[in-house]
Formats: sequence, structure tokens, C-alpha cells
Amino acid sequence: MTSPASDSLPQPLMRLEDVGRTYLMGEVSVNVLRNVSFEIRRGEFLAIVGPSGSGKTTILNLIGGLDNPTQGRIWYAGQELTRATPSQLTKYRRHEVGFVFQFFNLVPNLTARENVAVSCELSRRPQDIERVFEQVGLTERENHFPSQLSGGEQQRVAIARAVAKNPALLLCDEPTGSLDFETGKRVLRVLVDLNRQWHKTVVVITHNTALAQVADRVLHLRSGAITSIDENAAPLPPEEVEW
Amino acid sequence: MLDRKLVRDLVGSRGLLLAITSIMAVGVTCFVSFRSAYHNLDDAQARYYRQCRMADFWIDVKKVPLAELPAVGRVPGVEELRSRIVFSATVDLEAVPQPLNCQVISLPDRPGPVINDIVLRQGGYFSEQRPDQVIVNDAFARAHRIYPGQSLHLILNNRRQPLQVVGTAISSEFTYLLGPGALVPDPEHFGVFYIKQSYAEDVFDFAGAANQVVGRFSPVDAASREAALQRAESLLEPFGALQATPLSQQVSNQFLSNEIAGLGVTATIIPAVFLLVAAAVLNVLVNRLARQQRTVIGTLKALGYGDAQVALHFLKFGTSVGVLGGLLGSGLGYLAATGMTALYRQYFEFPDLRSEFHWYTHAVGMSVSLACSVLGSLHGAREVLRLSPAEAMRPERPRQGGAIWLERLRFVWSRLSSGWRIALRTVFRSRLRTGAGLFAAAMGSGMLSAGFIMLEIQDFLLDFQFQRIVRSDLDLAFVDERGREAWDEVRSLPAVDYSEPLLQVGCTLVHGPYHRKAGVTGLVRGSRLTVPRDQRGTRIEMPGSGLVLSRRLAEILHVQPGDRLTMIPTQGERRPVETRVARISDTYIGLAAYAEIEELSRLVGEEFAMTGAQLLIDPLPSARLALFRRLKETPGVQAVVSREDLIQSMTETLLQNQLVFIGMLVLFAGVIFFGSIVNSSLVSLAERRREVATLRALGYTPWQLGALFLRESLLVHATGTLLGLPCGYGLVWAAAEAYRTNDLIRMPVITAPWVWWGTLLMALAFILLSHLVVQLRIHRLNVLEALNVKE
Repeated sequence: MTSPASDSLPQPLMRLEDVGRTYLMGEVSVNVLRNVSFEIRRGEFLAIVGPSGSGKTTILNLIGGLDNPTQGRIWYAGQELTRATPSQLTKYRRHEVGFVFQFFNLVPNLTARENVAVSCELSRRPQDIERVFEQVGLTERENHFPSQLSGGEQQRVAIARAVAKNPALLLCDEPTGSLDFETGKRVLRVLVDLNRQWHKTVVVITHNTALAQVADRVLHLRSGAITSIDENAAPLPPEEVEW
Repeated sequence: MLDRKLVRDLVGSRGLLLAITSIMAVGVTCFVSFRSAYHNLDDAQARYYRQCRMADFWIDVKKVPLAELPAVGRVPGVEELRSRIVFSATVDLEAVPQPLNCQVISLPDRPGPVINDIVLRQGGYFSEQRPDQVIVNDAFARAHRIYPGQSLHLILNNRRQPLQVVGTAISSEFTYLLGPGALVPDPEHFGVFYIKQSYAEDVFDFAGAANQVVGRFSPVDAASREAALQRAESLLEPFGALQATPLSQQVSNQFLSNEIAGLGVTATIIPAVFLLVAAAVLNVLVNRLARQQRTVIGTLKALGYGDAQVALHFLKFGTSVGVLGGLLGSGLGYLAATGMTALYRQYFEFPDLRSEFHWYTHAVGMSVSLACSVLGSLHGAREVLRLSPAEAMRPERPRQGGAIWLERLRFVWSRLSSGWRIALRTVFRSRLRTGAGLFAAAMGSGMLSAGFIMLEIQDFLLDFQFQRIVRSDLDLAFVDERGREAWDEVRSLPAVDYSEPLLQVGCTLVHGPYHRKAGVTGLVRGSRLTVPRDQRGTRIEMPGSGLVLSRRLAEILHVQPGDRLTMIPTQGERRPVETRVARISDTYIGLAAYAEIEELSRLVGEEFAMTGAQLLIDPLPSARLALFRRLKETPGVQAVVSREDLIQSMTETLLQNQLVFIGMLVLFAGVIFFGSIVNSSLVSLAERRREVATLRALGYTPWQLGALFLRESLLVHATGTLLGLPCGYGLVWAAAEAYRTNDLIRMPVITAPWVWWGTLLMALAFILLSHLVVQLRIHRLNVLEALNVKE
């Protein structure tokens, strides 16, 4: 990975420069993302909002090192991700990124605690598991299997798993998408706390614009292009968000 | 439309189907090849025995006037008789330094449909031209490039006789031709020579007499045959009946029939293993397919497809494996049967042993293959088929979590890494897959270990019989019983470093109602060249008085050390003498009995008698040549057996077989391991694609994820392999049990550490090799696509 040529301002955590992504679907090429440029600041809570098909997940996959753009460049902490080898990308995911998926994606064969431990085993400086469970409010349930947990609890385990390896960046794909309203708010609270108290940079993608009210900044996406980036001067606490 | 779906399903899972098809194909191949080879040999045997008018019994006598034979012919149950003159002799070939052994048998001067007839291969039958014509058995002639028109010398009745070869031939009584002391045919060192009846009478001083009667029974039951043979033997008793041999005990027939019977058993056991493994593995695959397609099944049912139609759909999926495996196995089986039949031609001399297409066998192979595939696929799909359409259309419930019993062992569990925990829980929860994997691995390792044990037994047997019991370089047999002076003569032969006399006495051993004809060997006390041993290999010293009996012989006679028995020599005065069983020895070939030579001499009414000698000779080639030259000129020598040649021919043949055997074994076991592991791991991977993709997203490398699957594979297949070890041992034990009452050859069950290590290492190699396929799939896994899979 190489450093960008010039950078006088304090470095952002991540920078996307003119990024595009085209998929070949059989004989048709689909342009999912076009000329997208933006930054992710250290310690911010960024919401990426857009209807389905707007390219949200593609952006998440690109910044999470799961996919490569077909155009443009991406930097993380001064290193160019777009030039990284697959094994460098694996290391990037391992040490820098924590993923939270819409469908939780827990290992059904492991208890909540063990699911989190799977992630700790990868890290050079993992969080204390007890502390993480305390943070997500699941100390009582840590020895349950995923099938014995509610959706909200499963998502909190997934968040615990993401954060336990102590990454700088938490990437959440519709984290409340498959949860009911109250449970969704509880999960959102966990994410906000991690951002405010543990200083994690949190990126949430959602089609739910109401959710964006808790974020520091909101990036609006439509048909693969950024329509606006709004600063949120006074983010709402999750408990006050209505949708 | 469903058929179109079927074709796409088949194409979609082609890799896994190929794995299962190969297991099934190997099963059918084994069945078809062993069964076809069985029929080929069995048919050839029946044809050959008919063609040669194979005898039903042989009675050896000292010398019987031909005038006495009509009485024997009138025994009820005896249909036909032929008398002949049979002697062991040595052949003097100019190109071969050592004297070679042979059997000389008389045939009528003119051709006719006689019992134990010959089938001419080259040249013709005897002519009127000259009396000293000879027909040589074809294998010996081929080995020594002997052709009709050539002449050679036989030592007949202590005289070196020139004979003219008129033809070469084979005969059904020597389909498997063994020389003295041998276990495999060795045409270079042993042959059969047919001479004219008139010439034989002349040269052996047997005018109007014979020393062997061969006959055929009329079609009566087994008990009447036995009674007829006993009656015939008792009628010949006054003429020195040495031995009566029914067809079932005739050496060549025994070897051939054992082989045919063995093929029949193998044709059942090995294919059964493969087909069952294939059914189990197919079960796993169809189960996975059905669960994966449960919404499709629900939708089809909702559309109005009946249970039977949907079931038929999965049935067709499975049967296509059965059909393909069956066809492939049928074709390969025919080729393999042709190869096996060709291999048998090296051991068994037949006029027309050919590989034929036995349609019935192929049909059975195909049917069994189909039946197994139907069984595997229906069982696999039944769970999903039972669901109501609405239930089926809902996504499958998440797999049950929950602790497994192992977790109660907190001390152990808490020390395991997450990887081992995932593997252990998967193994315990996917019972079907684990069961199929355990079964396949157990069968694979059972097959390997059984094969390895057989090799070990073979080595042990050869070592025990040919290195530890018999230790001479050269064995001589005399035409007649000789006195002590013969030993001095032997000692004075060139190149003889050391020698021991031998006395062979054919006799009937009687203990109460039990009796058995056996040869008792007289040995000098402290003999070094024949050393009777017990099971552990410990030397058994010759007792001052009494007999050392081999275990099987003691069993037949129901005697134990200390018991008294009666010994009736079949030659000489044939005066019954009382003796006792001194010790029991172990031997795995034949029914040996030993006594101290002077004691045995006294028992047969002599002060000292010997019928042969064992020698240690100077290993220098020139010294050996000198000895062989002298032996060729020495009258009274009936047979010269070089143990070096014996062992060499045996190890060469057996080694060649061993290589083929090991190759097949490893290939077969490999197919089982590989097919089963690849299938179960890939099914497991397919079920857990999202889990794998999530872990990849978390930062796990493909190798780390591969290790998860390798752990599972190791847990299941290594355990299965361990379970297979006693199965393999049991299989050999069962085979040894079947041979336990065999008088010709028996099998100890011998194992060695390498058998177990070898099996474990092979299994490990297969596990790792199969894992490569899984690892490759993990490397190629499209993480994004897998993450988007909605379950």
C-alpha cells in the first residue's frame, strides 16, 4: 500500500477518490457505483442512506476490503487499499474492521461467548470479552447458542464480535433491518455508545432515513452516486428516534 | 419441466456425484470382475474336468496285479477304473546343471478316452515306432524350450533312460502343478512326463501290475462315494494301499477349488462394502439437496405436484448415479475380469480359460447398484418430502444450537480452541453425515488393515515354513529305504558341508475311532535342518520316544500330549505299533508328524533307516556344479529339491502378486476415503457457505477456515479409521477361522506395528489429499455472493 501524494490536513481515517464499481452480469455490465468520492473521519458516526439498489452495500464492501473497485482509489490511514494483495486485505479486515451484518451471521455451533472469542483469537490486542459483553448488555446470555437468543440479542452478539477484536472501524450493514422497533433502538444505542465511549469510527448503512438522525454525518446515495453529504449538528440519542 | 430441473441439478452437483459414482462404480467393478472371474474359472474347471474325464479318486498302492482290479471295479458306487504306473523321478537336461524333479505317469500305448486323459498342445500321441516315447507337460516344455522330436534323459528305476519327446500336453489333474515342498507352480524345476504303459511296465518291472488306481464314481450321494472309496481301499489293502485321495483332497483340485470359492466370497464382501458406502454417502448428498431445495419442493407441491412426483424427481437424481456407476462398473468389471483371468492363466494350466461376458452377473451388478442408489436417495429425501407445502415454503428453522455431552467435561472443553469446538459440535450434530463418514472410513481402513495383515501373514508363513522349520540348502529323496551307509555316502558327496538323514514313513495313525493317514518324518535328535516349532517359534526338541504331532493332526485325532495312539505303517510289514504323543508342534502347511529317526526306524522294524537327506552345501557356484554333476550320476536319488530355487520362485511369484494386491488395495481404499470425505466436506461447506464467508469477512484466512473443515474431517475419518482397525482384524480372523480345519494350508493371524501405522498413515494421506479439494473450494469461495445468501 502506498501513501497519497499530498496531504496537509490531519489525515482522515479513510478516503475514497472517484470510486466506481461495475459488475458483469452475464453479458450485461451493471454500473453499481459511479465517481464516488468522500472521506470517513476518525471517530465519527457516519450514516450512508439510500433506497435499495443505490449502491450502499457495494460501498460497505469496498471500504470493508471485501471487494475492489473497478475505478478510482481508496485509502485507509494513509495506505492505499486498492493496491493491497488479498492477504493484505485479509489482514486489514482482521485488524482494522469489524463487520455487523443485517442477518447477524453468527456461527450457529458456537455460544454467544464463543462467537465473540472466534473474533478475539484473530486479534493482536483484543478487548476483554467480559467488558464487551457488559457493553452490549448480554452478560447474562453469553453461554447461550444463537438459536436460543432473540434477534436483538443475536445482533448485539454480532456487534460484540465485531468490536471484540478492537478494530478502528465498525461497518454495519442494516444493523436494525431485521429487528423490531424497540429492539432496533437498543442495538442502535450500543453502536452509539461504542462510538462515543470507545471512540470507534462507526459506519452504518441503512435505507431508513430516520436512523440517520443519530449520526454525525449523513451521506445520501441514489443510483450509485452521492447526492449530498449532510453534517448533523445535534445528533439525537437513539431513544428519541422514531420510525 | 421437472426433468429439466433434474438435469440442471445433476450438472450443478457434478463434482459430488462423480465422487459417489466412483465409489459405486468400484463396487460394481469388484462385483462384476470377481464374479465373472469366478464363472470363468468355474466353467473352465467344469469343461476341463469333463474333457479329461477327471478322476473322482486316486488310490496309491505298492504294487497291485492287474488281475485284482475287476473286484475293485465291482464295488457299488464305482463306475470306472484305470490302473497306471506312477513314479517320482529326476530329469537330466543337458542345459541344466542340476537334476530336476518330475512325476512319470503311464498312459495307454494307443489314445482312448481314459480317466485323467491329457490334452495335447504340441506334437502328437505315442506312435508304434518306438517304445521310449514321452509326452511332456506343456509348462515344463515351455520353460525349457523342449519340442517334439527332441530327446532327453530321465532317471527311471535307477537307470538313465533316453526318451524321445513326441508331444506336449496338459491334464486336469495338474491344473495347479506343484513340485515337492512347493506352494506355487514352478515349471522350471518340476514337470510331468507321460510314458507308454508297455514301456513303464518294462522299465519299472511292473509287467501286469500297477501302483495307482484312479476311478470315477457312479452318480451316487456323498456318503455312498465315501463308502465306495473305503471299500475299494480295503480291497487294495493287501497290496500296500498307501493312500486313498478323493477329488476333494487332491492337491491341484484343492488349490483351484479354494481359489474359486475365495472369489465367490470376495465377490460378495468387497462390493457390499462399496455399495453400502455409496448408498450412505448418496444419502447425505440427497438429504442436503432436498433441504436446500425445500422451498422449491414446497412451491412445487403448492402448484399441485403430488408427493410421488416430487419423490420420483429425487429418485431420478439418485438413480442416475446408480445407472452411471452400474454402467461404468459393468464395463470396467469386464476389463478387470479379463485381466484377472489372464493372471490366473499364469498359475492354472487350462486348455481354454477365457474371459466371457456373463450377462447375468452384469445384470445383478446393475440391479444392486440401482437398488443402493434408490435406497440412498429416498432415505435422504424423505424428511423434506414429509413436510406440508406451507411448511416447506418457509425457510428452514435455524439449526439447533445446544451443548453436546462433551461440554460437560469442562476441564477438557474449556481448553479447546473455538475451531475445535465448532468442529466437535458439527460432528455431533450432523449425525447422518458423521455416521456415513465413520462407516466409510471404517470400511476403508478395514480393507487396508486386512490387506496389510494378509501380507504380514504371508511373510510370516514363508519365513516360518521355509526359513525356520526347514533350513537346509538341498533336500534329497531316495528311491528306496536305505541304511546308515547311505548317510556316509551323502556326507562324502562334493560340496556337502553338513547333512542330516530323514526317514519318511507313510502310516495310518489311529486313536480310538479317529484315524488319519499321514507321513511321519524321522529326524536326528537335535536336528538343525528341520526344526519343529511351536506357535511362538520356540524349537521343539525331538523326544526320546513318541511322536511330535502338528496341531491340526492332533485335533483330527483328538489327542493331547501323553495320549497313546497306534501307528500302522503303509509299507513293509505294516505291523501296528503303539506309541504316544510327546509334543504338539505348529505348522501351517500340511499335516506334519515327527519322531526321532532311530525310534521311528525301530517302529518300522529296522535298526536304522533313511529315505532321504538334508544338506548344507558350499555356496561356491563351482562346488554346487560339482555336486549336481555327481547327483545326476548317482543312482537311487529320486528327487533333488533346492530350497533356494523353491524360495526364489515362490517369492518372485508372491512378490509380483503382492504389488498388484497392494496397488488395488490402496486404490480401492483411496476411492472410499476420497469419495466419502470430499462428499461430506463439500456438503458441509455448501451448508455453511455464509458462515465461512462471515469468518472470511472477520479476517480469517482461507487456510484458517480450511483448518476448521480439516478438523471435522479428521475427527470423523480418523475415528472411523480407528474403528476400522478391529474390523480389518476381524475380517482376517474370520478368514483364518475358515481355513482352520483345512488340512492343506492354514493361516495364523499375525499382525505387526507397521500394519496399524501403515493403515493410519495411508488414511491420513487420503484425508489430507481429499481436504485439498475442500481447501480449493474455500479459496475460490465468492465471499460477497455467499454473504448475500438468504437462508
